[in-house]
Amino acid sequence: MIAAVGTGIAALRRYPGAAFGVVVLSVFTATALFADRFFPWNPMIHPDRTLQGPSWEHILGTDYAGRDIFHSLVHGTRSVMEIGALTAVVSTVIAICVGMISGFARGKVDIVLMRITDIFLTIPSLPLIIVLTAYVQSSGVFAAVAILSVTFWAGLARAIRAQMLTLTERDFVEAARVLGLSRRHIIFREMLPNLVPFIAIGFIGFFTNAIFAAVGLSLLGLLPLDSSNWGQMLNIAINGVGALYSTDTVAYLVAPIICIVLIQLAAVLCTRWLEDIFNPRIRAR
Amino acid sequence: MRSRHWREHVQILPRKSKGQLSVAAAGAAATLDSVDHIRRRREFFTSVSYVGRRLVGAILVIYAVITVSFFMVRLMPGSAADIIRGELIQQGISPEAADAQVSAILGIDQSDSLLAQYFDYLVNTSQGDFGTSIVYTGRSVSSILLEALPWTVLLVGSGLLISFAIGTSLGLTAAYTRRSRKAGALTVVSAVMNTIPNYVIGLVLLYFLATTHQIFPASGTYNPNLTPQLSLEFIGSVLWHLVLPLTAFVLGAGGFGHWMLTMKASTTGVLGDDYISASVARGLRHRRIATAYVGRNALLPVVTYLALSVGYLFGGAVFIENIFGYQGLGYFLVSSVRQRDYPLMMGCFNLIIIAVVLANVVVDLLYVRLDPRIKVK
Repeated sequence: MIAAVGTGIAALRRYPGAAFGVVVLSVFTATALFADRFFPWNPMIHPDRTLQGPSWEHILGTDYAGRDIFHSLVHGTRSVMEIGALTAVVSTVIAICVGMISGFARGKVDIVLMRITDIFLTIPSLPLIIVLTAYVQSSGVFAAVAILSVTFWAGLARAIRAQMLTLTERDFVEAARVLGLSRRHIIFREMLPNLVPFIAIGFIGFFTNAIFAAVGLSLLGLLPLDSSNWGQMLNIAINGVGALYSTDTVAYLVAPIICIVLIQLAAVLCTRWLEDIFNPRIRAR
Repeated sequence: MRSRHWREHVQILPRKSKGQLSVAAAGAAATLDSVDHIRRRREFFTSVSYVGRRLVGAILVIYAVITVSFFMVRLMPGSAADIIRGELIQQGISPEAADAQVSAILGIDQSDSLLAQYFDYLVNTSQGDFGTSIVYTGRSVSSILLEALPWTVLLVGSGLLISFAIGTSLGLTAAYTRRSRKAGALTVVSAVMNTIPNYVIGLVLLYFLATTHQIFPASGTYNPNLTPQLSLEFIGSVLWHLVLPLTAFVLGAGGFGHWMLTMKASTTGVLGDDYISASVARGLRHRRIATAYVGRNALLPVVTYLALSVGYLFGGAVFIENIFGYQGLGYFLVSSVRQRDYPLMMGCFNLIIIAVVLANVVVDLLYVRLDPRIKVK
């Protein structure tokens, strides 16, 4: 464990971009967890101060209802991060189950599971998500997470299965089998640790895709969500306040955009960092 | 003559599998004509069976999706049929009359057994009959889809071609000059652009180029004052309306940056291969090595990604079409979901899936042309 942390820090030193990524993601995570305590969300409408430009009181100005844009942004971070993280967890778990069962069981189970996986891989996820939103009645983070996860898992499941197939041929798995170790031991102690790089990188991929889709769908006004988020801010900026047509309230449009770009960029940098840690061949270069 | 013969063999070697090699060796011993004939016939049949398998797989996927969509329309609690029926009853229509209307709208006879309904749905869908739109009263879904499809194909097709052309050539250049500062800058720019969602780029373009400075139109596919015909003015208007959506498509995530990074990684791998050193040693011209040897081989894995990303691209087009009010399939998909126009929604969905699956088959066939090894497998 300590060795792993050491490698991580060493990789950070070699690759300063990764440090940027880790810091940005940490800041967003901390904002999502704690910000509501420091900037309590207040959906009150202040008709006396609508559409103000940036000032000391309101760093990014105010929106059409007189709300502080910076506060809306901070508050929106929570639901965006929640959807990203939860979707990543659920899709990763589905992918691990399907991939490992398929790769270990082989035979008919494998064929059936992979056919299903292939169908999910072929169906483009965004149109499927959009159609599903028409059928989901409840609004809330969990409905959104369910819709997103159902469409995401297939790629990682295939990668894990392929990896399982090569792992079963490897000497150390063979050795464990000859030693008479239990199937459970072989799967969870011998094979699973070797899948960690795939799982970790897949996890971050799910996280960024979930944010990409969730923000985009709220922008189109499709995702059933109560709480405000960046996509909704963009939606209102385009359709409601007309930020598109005046330069004063441009912050309402630009601020969420910058957050989205930052978070996507940070996630990609973190992936590179993880690849650097997990792949000794890259490290040697 | 002799030396050219030798060169051709060296060029072919790394790309041919053992089976074909032994055929080639036998060809040296036996009369060349007959062996070549047998080989060609075998290649023809293996490629036919490969294409056949791909087509069967594609049809299976389409069948599965249409089946699932039937269940969504008809069976699921809160299915389209239930919701439309509920709305009609709320409007004060008797349950029997509502049932009849639902049947008419969806093109399914609800008094039939479920199996018969399913069969009807399959037959209707395979004939391109998706029922009648609720919002656009009186219009069949297929007529709306037929109008929308060309715009999506134009946007996704041209976007993909341009991103692929720019991306792969940039990737090849960057891999060739990978120690230079220019290559480093290219990589950073591509990687950053590849993380920015295309709808974000679309919004920025919309803000700067269509509203605050009204250089380009903010929505639509062509100037509505013109009649669609093959005139220079009309085509110009179509292209003018295409500029912003296309730019967002090419610049955003999954656009040129994606192809640049994939091509660069692939090329870097190929550059280390022995046959590249051999071709350099043989004194071939730099340009020929770069295109015929490095480029062609490096393109293979990139084309595989092409197959994987077709679906993703259609998904990305949904955002762009809606931001720019570009009336393709994605535009109607979203508006039909908003307005609960279920027949139109399922029609858009089914058609997008069919388009993606067929595009996958096309890419697979393209792959056979590019990589002869695949036929033998």
